[in-house]
Amino acid sequence: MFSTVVSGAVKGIQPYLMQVEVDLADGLPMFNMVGFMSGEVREAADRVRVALKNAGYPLPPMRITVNLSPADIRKTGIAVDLPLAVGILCAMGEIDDKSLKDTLILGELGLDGEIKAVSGVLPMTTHAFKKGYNTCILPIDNAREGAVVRGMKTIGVSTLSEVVAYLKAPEGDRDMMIPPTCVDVDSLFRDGNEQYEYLKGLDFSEINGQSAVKRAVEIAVSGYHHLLIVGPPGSGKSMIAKRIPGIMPPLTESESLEVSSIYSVAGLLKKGESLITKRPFMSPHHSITESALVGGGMVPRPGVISLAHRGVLFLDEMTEFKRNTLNLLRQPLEDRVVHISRSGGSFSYPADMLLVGAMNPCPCGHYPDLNKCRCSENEIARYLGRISGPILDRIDICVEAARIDVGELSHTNQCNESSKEIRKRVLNAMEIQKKRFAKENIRFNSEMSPAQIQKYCVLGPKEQRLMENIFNTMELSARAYHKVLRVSRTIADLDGSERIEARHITEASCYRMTDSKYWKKNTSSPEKISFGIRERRRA
Amino acid sequence: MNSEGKYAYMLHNVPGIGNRTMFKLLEHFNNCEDICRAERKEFSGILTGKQINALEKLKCGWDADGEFEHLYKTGIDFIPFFSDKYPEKLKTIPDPPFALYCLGDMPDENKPSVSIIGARNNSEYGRYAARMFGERLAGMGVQIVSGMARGIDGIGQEAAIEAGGKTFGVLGSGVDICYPKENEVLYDAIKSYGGIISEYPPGTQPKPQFFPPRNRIISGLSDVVLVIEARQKSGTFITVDMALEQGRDVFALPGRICDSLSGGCNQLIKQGASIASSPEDIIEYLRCDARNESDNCSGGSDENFDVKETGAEKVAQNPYLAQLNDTQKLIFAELDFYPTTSGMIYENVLKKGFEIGVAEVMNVLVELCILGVAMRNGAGFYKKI
Repeated sequence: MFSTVVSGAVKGIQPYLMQVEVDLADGLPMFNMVGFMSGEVREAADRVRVALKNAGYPLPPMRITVNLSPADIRKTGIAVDLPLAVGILCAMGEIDDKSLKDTLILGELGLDGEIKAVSGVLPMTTHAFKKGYNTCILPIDNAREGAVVRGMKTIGVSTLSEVVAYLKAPEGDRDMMIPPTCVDVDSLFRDGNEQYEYLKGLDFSEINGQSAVKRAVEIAVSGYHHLLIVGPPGSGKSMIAKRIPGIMPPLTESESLEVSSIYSVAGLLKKGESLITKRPFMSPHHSITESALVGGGMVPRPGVISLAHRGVLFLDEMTEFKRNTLNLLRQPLEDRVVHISRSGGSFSYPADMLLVGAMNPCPCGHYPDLNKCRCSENEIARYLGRISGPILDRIDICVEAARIDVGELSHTNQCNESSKEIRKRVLNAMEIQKKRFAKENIRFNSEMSPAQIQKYCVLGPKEQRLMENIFNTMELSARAYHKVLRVSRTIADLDGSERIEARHITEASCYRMTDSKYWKKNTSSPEKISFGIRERRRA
Repeated sequence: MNSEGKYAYMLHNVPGIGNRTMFKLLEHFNNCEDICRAERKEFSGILTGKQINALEKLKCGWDADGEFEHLYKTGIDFIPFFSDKYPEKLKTIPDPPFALYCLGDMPDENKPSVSIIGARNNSEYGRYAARMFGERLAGMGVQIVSGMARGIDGIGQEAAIEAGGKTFGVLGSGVDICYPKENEVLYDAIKSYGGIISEYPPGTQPKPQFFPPRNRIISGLSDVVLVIEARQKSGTFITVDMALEQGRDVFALPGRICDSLSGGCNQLIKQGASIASSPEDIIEYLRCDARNESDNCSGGSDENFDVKETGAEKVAQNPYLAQLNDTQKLIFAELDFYPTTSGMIYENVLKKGFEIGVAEVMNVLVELCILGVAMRNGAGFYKKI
């Protein structure tokens, strides 16, 4: 009178297999659940009892003990209804436990025996397949998710009686009864262009003007450099940002699996959706809380930065975000993964996204148009100070968006480059980087360490001199040195040039303005005046 | 006089007794010592009860000799109205300050002084003009008086010091308090190459209501008031009004009609202010003024001007400007005194029908920066003059 059913659960986005063990014994009728679980998991007992009754299998008056193993991981926010129900039926002898061999069962039950979708199916089935389980019984709404795993036989079920009937049927008749769900994964990735269908109406050709910003975006995407767009209100910052996924390369299958796993855990995969094939674009409102941004909560959930994994995280009105919230980005931007430690354990969520920030140049937004802007230097300094230095440090490219003339908007006959054309160049640049970093553990120029910069960004004597010149005249900080080199490497790649040339460096230095004094309406530098005094003393 | 000084200093520290009341008291009692020794009832009709209380309270805890000694040790000069160090120019203005505090020197009365004033929130054009006027006027021996504020004031004074001239900062706080804080370096420099002047006792924190009255000292100490940049509604006009009331001549720097920062200046010109198209305009005026005076009095005062630098040829032309290549010239022509974004410059060049890439525009812009003919800040590139 004992049975074991294999189900799965996730910790963070780390899946693990969970054994649902059921024992029926003589004694006072009771339903006892053990295995380090939280209250909402324990509620499964009542659902299962009613669902079984309504499906025509009333619980026997026996002492029922259920154990969720492994017992050292706290189970919270998971659904064990269907595996539990199947386990009880198995222990009752209704189902032969041989029919459960190498089978993974997931699902939540309604009181009427209906099977409802659960989250985290994709990582769990992937994991189970690796562990040797080749069949899975999933809620019908999750079936396409599980079917993505090649070689896994996925059975989508919608009611409890269906499951029982299926498991009772002889091996050979089963496929007739419920044909396994199939998803042609290759077709999802075969034709790259189809992936961009959803971006219709979000093409770069619709943007007139702002060529400098477009250029900066192209460079940023090519080398995976984080980007900050500064411009007055209505200059098209958000418009441009929304079009960035369209010039990124199509998601590869492995990337898609990563992204889909996160969405699956977060329960954000749409009904019947198998894989996420488009680059994520997340644009959280600036009132976002800390745990919503990086993940966390009582039952840890991936935050917005993880949902933007392999895609774009767009922070509009970046200065309006709470300083603390923004500062949480420091570590994920560096490590491309976010570690969250809570009393329930530590979790890691991938967070490899392209950060695109947009902000106004001053509180009123009109600087440098002094006819409109009355912000004092201090006000501007305070405004900019809302983004902390360490965050700015991680942003390689900063570009100014100009105010748009109405005349420019009405030019409809302008032939702007389409996203497709830009994407072609981006892909070329990425190809070059892929070859270059084949033996390194990085993929993009933006990830180069100082040692790697020294290796891959070799400057000739002429370029070296130019670099020094730029640093002296443009008052760049030493920190900016590596950034300029990384960005110039990307510009050279876009150019198809083996060496970094002077023009690449000059352009790269154009994208450095977050350094130190930034706006300085007045350049009254103490050094200069004290220098003047020294000169005078000498005279 | 010394004992008068210490009593005047004591009276000047009584909170709640204003400048005019001080003169009323002095008129009634004739000297400060008597005021300090007077009985309560003697003040009736001149001071209010509150003011008398304040005076009595101060008298209790004030060691006249000690405090004066202390002031002397800090290096701050106390210059009451009746002192012979008190500037003649201020004696004739309406509502002259009862006393001045000074760190450093007082302006030389025999030398011409010009005050350079304007908006705190200046444009690059204003910055250039304030520098140029400050530098050239100071170079010709003119003393620059201003308020050491952010923007035009500070820039003009800084330029004067760099040019080796003298400059005087009139503060709206005690002379020992540097306001605004970011001008600390300038403050220290003015102490050595001119003087910090204030009518408020040392230790007085700056308050908004202190600034309009200090403007009358700025204009009072100068022969000419030069307005560099001001909006139509600007605090600068307080100084201008004071200057006119005091009979000082006002010069205004003309600007473009589309720049609101020049709106006030253009308005002044419309109302009859003199046009400051070059520092020579002001020198010329000062020289005429001096000649008129010397006709009335005796001796020439032309030697007060250091005329050896007439300066017209000294217009700071960057030598690289002549060496620019065609593309650089093309891009340079698009630059303005206001920062313009690289994208905007690119569009403008395109509109003119030139074939050029946006990346190339950026390259040229950085080249111009390296050559020193352009500058950049966070909002874009602008022309350097």
